Amino acid sequence: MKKLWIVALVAGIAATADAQPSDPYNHDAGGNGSAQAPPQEPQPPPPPQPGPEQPPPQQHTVRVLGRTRMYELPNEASAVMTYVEPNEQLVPVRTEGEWTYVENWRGQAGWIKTSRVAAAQAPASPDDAAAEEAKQEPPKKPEKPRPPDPPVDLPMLIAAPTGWLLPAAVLYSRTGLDTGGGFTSDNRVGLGDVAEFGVKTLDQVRSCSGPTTLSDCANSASAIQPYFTAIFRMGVGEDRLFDGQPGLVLGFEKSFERDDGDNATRIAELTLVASKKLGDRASIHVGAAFWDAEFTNSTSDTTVALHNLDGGFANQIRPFAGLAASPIAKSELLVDLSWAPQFCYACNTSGPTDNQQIRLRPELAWGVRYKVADWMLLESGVRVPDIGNANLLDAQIYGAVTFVTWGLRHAVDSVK
Amino acid sequence: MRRFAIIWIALAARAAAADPPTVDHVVTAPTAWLPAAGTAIGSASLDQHGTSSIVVGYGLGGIAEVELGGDGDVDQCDSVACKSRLYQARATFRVGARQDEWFDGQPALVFGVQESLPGTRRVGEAYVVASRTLGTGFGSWRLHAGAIALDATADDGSRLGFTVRPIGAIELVPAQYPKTTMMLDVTWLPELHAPGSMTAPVQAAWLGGFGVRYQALSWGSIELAIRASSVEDRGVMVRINGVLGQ
Repeated sequence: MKKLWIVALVAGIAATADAQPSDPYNHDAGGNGSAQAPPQEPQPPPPPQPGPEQPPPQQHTVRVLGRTRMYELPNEASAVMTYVEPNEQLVPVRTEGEWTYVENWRGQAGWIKTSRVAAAQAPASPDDAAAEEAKQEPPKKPEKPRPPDPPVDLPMLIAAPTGWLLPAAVLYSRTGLDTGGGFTSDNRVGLGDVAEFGVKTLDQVRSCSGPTTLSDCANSASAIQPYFTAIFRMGVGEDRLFDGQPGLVLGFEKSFERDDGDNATRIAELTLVASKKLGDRASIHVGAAFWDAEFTNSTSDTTVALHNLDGGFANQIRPFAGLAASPIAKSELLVDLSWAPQFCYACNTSGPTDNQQIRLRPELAWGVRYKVADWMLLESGVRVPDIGNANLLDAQIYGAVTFVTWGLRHAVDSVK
Repeated sequence: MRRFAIIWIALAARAAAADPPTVDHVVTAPTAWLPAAGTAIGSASLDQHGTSSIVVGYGLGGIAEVELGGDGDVDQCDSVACKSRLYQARATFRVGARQDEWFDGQPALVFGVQESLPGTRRVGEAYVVASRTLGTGFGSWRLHAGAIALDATADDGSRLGFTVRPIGAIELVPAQYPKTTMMLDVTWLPELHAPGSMTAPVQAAWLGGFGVRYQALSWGSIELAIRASSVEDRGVMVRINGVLGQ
């Protein structure tokens, strides 16, 4: 009988041992003798053991604020499956109302109160120190993706200015060559969406020292270059003040003094230009320029200035205009009419032809601008420096490359 | 007139099957074909007198082309003959519209300006040319017609002045030989005469040519042509053409 009791006791212990859950929390729960202990704890699967060739997929995990019950259903009246400790990582699957369905590392899945869930953290292995640090820091707000840079309306057609200003902190650089041996470079920066500043070198200012008549000078004049100028323009963008308002820009360009043989020359130009887009593919540009120019002969120490010549303002004010059209996307057809001074050092200085010493000559240009990339444009065309002279041999074929970059703008924005 | 218009429209309708080529010249005369945007073209030639040329071009946005190069097409004559050539570096800008772009049946149109680089002797050209591909039973015809304005200066400062002349060309791609093009053209060039000769120092002279182009590769062709001008036989010329990025 005693043997029978011993056998029964051993069998009972063995049965109890079989019934023991491997989960220490369940053991605790059972040890507390709680009536809410789950009657039949499912055997949790072993934690996943990924092989070295197949790393586990990175999952979003959460933790609980304190020891929390995991229910079988999203209802406090349902059975408690287990208890979740604060240091245990849980994978949230879905939420329903105030409940979140989670899965723990043992593969147990159940419902916990969403209010008990701590902030989300970056996926990491449980013993990852970096993950521990990340747990302490509040989650970072994801950075908004930067919108693409809008297209820039350029400040120049071919030789005529437009009524458009560069956007703030946008850099513009245009460099060109022509068959007349001319070299031009125009570099600008947009200032606060209302102005721009730049430095240029021109090849449009021409001179002749031998001829004594205007027509002879027109045939033999050559460009004075490099001819450095600084330019400042300010204005308002299109439709800024009212619908239909054209872009309006007031610009001032002033040269540095430039020696040309025995003569020191200077020019200045004040422009007011309006530009209006005609639909998506065309634009028109109209303006007026108020010019001044002078040269001082170092031998005779005489100065001749455009504003002192006979004719007054009529000699100095000139209209200019331009058209741009895009028959094909990325390609722009340009035509413009502009003016440039011509110095005739040996022309008559008295009588009605006095003003021949400095004359403004009209320049017609046409060409095509091709947008190779958002930041690069190739341009080529024809410039006729003195259309009044109608000299085919004076026509110049030019090529130019233009770079436009928002790099400075982005750098400024990142500092802000 | 109405019958001619009907024939033109009928031929133009058949032209859709034949794409215009990229090569912008016939033998010497310009065509109204423009290279596609971003396409580079090049050609190099040599004739039996050793006169050579090389030209590279680039398609700007599908509506224009810029070319740089050099050639010895302009004759320099003394009192006896025109045996030397004026080699000049030059640049060309061409802008225009492709055929059928504005309306069905519209020929391709190009306005081009060509300028020599600065020197004592300078040559300038401006031209307007219309080109159209027409399909017939014989094959594909390409017709080119236009006008060219010339100006040039000689060493002594003599000048041709603004001179306008017609230009024209015909090309035929036989249906049986789609890689072969037969060419015939006429254009005008300045001709520089030495001081003291009986003629004017600078004249406009016609230059005609005929030949065959063989499209050996999808990107390259070779031409064999014979040219003659108003003053001399220029002999046989071989030229290769290449297109990149088409």
